[in-house]
Amino acid sequence: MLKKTFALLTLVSISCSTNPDIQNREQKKLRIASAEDFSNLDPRKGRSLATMDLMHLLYEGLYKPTRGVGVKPGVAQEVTISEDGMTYRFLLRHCKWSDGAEVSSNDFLESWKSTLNSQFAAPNAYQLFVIQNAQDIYDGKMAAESLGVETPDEQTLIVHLKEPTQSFLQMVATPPFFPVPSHALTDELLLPKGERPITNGPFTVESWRPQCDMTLKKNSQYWAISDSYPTTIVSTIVDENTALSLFEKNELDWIGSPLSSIPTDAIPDLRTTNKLRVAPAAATHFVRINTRKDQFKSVAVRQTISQAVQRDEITDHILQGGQKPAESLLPKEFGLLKTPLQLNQALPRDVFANEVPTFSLSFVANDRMSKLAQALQSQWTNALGIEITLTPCDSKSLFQKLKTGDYDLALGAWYADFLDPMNFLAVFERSDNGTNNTGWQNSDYQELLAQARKTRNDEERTNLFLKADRLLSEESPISPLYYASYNFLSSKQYSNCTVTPLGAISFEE
Amino acid sequence: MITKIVRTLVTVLLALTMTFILMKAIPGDPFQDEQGVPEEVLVNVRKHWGLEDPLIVQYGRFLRSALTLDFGPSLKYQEHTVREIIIQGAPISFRLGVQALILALPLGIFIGAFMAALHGGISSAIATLVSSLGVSMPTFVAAASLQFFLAISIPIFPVARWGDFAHTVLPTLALAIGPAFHISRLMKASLLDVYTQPYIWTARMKGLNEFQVLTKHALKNALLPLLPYIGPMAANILVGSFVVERVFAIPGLGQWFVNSVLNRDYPLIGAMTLLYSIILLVLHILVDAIQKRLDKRLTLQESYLS
Amino acid sequence: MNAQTSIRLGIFILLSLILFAFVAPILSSFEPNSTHLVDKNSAPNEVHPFGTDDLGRDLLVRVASAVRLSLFVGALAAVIDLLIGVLWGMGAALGGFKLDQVLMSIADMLYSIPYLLVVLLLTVVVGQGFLPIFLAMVLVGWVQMARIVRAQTVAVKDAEYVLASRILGSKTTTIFFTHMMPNIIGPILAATVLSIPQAIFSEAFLSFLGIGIQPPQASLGSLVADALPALRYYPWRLFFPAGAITLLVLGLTLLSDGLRDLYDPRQRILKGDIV
Repeated sequence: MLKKTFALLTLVSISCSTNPDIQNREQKKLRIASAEDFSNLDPRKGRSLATMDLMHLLYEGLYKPTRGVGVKPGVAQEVTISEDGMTYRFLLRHCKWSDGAEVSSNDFLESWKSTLNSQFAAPNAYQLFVIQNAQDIYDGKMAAESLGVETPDEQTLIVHLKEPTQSFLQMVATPPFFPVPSHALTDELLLPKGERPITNGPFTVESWRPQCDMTLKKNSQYWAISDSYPTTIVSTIVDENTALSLFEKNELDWIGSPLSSIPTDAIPDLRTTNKLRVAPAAATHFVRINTRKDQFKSVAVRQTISQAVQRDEITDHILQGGQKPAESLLPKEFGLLKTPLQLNQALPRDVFANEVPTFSLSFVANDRMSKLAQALQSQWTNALGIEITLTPCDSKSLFQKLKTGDYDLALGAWYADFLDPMNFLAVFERSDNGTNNTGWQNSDYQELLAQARKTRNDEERTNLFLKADRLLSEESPISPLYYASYNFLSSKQYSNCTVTPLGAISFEE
Repeated sequence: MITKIVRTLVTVLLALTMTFILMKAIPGDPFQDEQGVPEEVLVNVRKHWGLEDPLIVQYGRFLRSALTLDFGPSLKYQEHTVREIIIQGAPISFRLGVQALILALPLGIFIGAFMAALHGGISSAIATLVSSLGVSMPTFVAAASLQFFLAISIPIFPVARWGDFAHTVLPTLALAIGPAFHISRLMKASLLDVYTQPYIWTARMKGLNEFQVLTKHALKNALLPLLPYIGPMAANILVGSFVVERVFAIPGLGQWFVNSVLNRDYPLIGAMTLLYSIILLVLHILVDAIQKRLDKRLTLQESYLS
Repeated sequence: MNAQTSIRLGIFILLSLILFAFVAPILSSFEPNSTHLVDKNSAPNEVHPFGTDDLGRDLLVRVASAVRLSLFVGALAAVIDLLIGVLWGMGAALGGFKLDQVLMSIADMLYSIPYLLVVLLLTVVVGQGFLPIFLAMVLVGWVQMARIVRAQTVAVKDAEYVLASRILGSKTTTIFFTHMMPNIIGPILAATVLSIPQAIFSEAFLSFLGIGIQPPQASLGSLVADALPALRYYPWRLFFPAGAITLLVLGLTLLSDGLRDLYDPRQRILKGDIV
């Protein structure tokens, strides 16, 4: 039981109307803005960043994220890892679902089995493929019962992995590995609709008006419940300027990351008045270079494009939100790397000697990306004399273009699923893996990653990651731009809450 | 009357079909995102939602949804069915649109009559300038400006969200300004036209004063040429509501519609198209009917010559 | 204000705008698209009479470039709308009942398809850039123009003077050009001129959504859309483009009002030109 000097929270019944003159009696509520509504209440199916955040508020996995790079015990109070690193034995603590039922190992097993059922159509299924036989079950080659998970009793969960995976504890802290209330599932293995969702995390859903707001109430059955969890009302406010205005009128307590964004034009002012809060994000923004196209097949060309970018200018004048320039894919913020990499060669200027090429730069059309693209266009034209045409499009069109290779250069980013360098580096492991989309593949790179998977020596693992990161920078299928950071504003009483590197709201210290 | 209804239904059917074709033609997958869903998983998810079925099967399903008004759950917001979404959002957008129309029409007519009366003087130049201001503001500029001046700088009205009447004032104003000034200009032109007609002289000679001339004769006839504009204007209000709803964080249908296209949320797109085309066509029929009634000239001729 | 003054004033304003749009960039040392991040968001001063935008580009030159683009595109879209609308509307009004039904049904159907869907498809099928936006602007207006033309033509077609003409034995073409056209032209011309701002607005709407004229090209609509969020911090970014739009609409309005008055035979009756 942590003693906090927070104000107490009020439980107020909320309708879709707002009353700015509401009398805050004893307890306070956290009114937070979200740029889009949540798409799912089921941890097996949610994909969007906002929905994943909601999952962290409603559910808890075997382990849970901390404010830094580690994870700490959640539903599992301890874990025993076998010598070969392939078997994890979790001892679950006694805790309850919000309807009073005990959380059991079977809740995890049922959740994972249903996710791996191809009929269930969970987009997150592939995240479970680390478990022994998981992929075969998904492909229909084996029966669901042969999943490498045992539940000898309600408090014990034994997981057999396909191969030793250093980051497995990080992975179980992510929503695809969360439990579901197996005692309440429908025939189609879905969560029961209509009634209040049954959750095992700090919050339950009190009410939900689509595209309007969702009220989250403290879950008294949560084993670690404390006063640091306020009643939370998430309002869907699409326009970031409106959200800012509402915040300034005291109608919202939290705007910006992780659920919405701060208008770029407001950031300089907010920084000088010291209102802007910044937290590092486990994410890197970069430019994808389409190596499938002839003009980009030469490494020299790609390196030139990458080196011509003036990253300082971008972080200091375009983004202005505490982002850091990136010279390689892996963010250094999380103790993942000790030595920063530098590409020190001078710009080879004769790369485009013959003709002045024209490249297109594709990106999702929003304010920030548009400014970034225009700045890059300027920089490339000035430094290299090449022509850049800007091709904004909506996000789905962009993903399609990436998939079919219908682009020259494209803005992109990777937000980590879990905090391990492997999660970043694996994005570009194979050219056909759905996340790469540059057409680049390199056997040395793949070899490095394969070795990193096998080794159980931490230092060797880190060195392999360093090598892979450097190789990626030298080969330049991407031009790293900056490491993202979370920008948000919160009212004074929530100055102790922050956003974790993976983008969840953290209430406790 | 029957033929009109049949014609309407055929039009709706054609619109739906065109929408289906467009939806399928636009590239982009409702389930793909930046984190990259692997191909095999994506295919399974698509299969589950019937998106891997042959197009003709999907088309049949689409039409059946339209007929039974049951489009199933939204692809993006899977916790809600399309019907729930529309039932929740429609009344709000509808109320906003109706309020804006109720404001815009009389306001526009009044301003138009006022400008017609001023016609030819210095004040008409000023009036033209003011009305240009009104017409030259795209709806989203009006919305943001109103919000800035009347809610943020001077806190008279709520900044955003939906609740009591006060919340509806600024959004209604924002939606109504453009159409009101548009109507006023059309009204002025039409009134000036009407005032040259013989029956106006007749009315004056009968001894009616200016006000009676205006209300008894001029207005009715001046309104007639406006009618073809009213339908599209009402439709524009429907579309313009998206911007206003976004700026004022109003949970109406406008948001859903634009987002559904951007998200490739096919069931929602289909339902919104159905709704939209039905509203448009109803408006069109209404306007036609009003036109028939008001324009005795037209109907008289028809009965003579047909 | 009589018709001539109105036309003169309108043309004066439009010409001034056009002059500004073409001369200002020549006189200025700045390029509309060259960014200079250090100077971003500076208020109007001697170096930058209109200030700079969020990427440090000189706003005066950008507004000038935007006026050129918006005027050109808007006018072109309006003319094409007019052509299509006239053909379609007159065809429907004069071509007999069946043709009327077919044409207007098609128009209705096309009108019932959500605009955004069509625009997205255009940007995808035709590719990015100018053409899809232009097509979208044309699409938004032609049905309305067709409806107006048809309504006007129908109203006039059965008017007394047409009947009288026919009884007197005039040829169809004579009736058409001498009697019908002058009565239709006024409102149609006015509508055409007014559809220019419509086209500009629809482009602005698309910019607001993020799928308008591709950056760094500036159109009046995209300048306004970009400046809105910055209204309270850097108001000049909205003021100048919005002012340009207002002037443009003012000029067009005066011009169209004047033209309408000029062409309106009834006005001429009032003045005693014809009896």
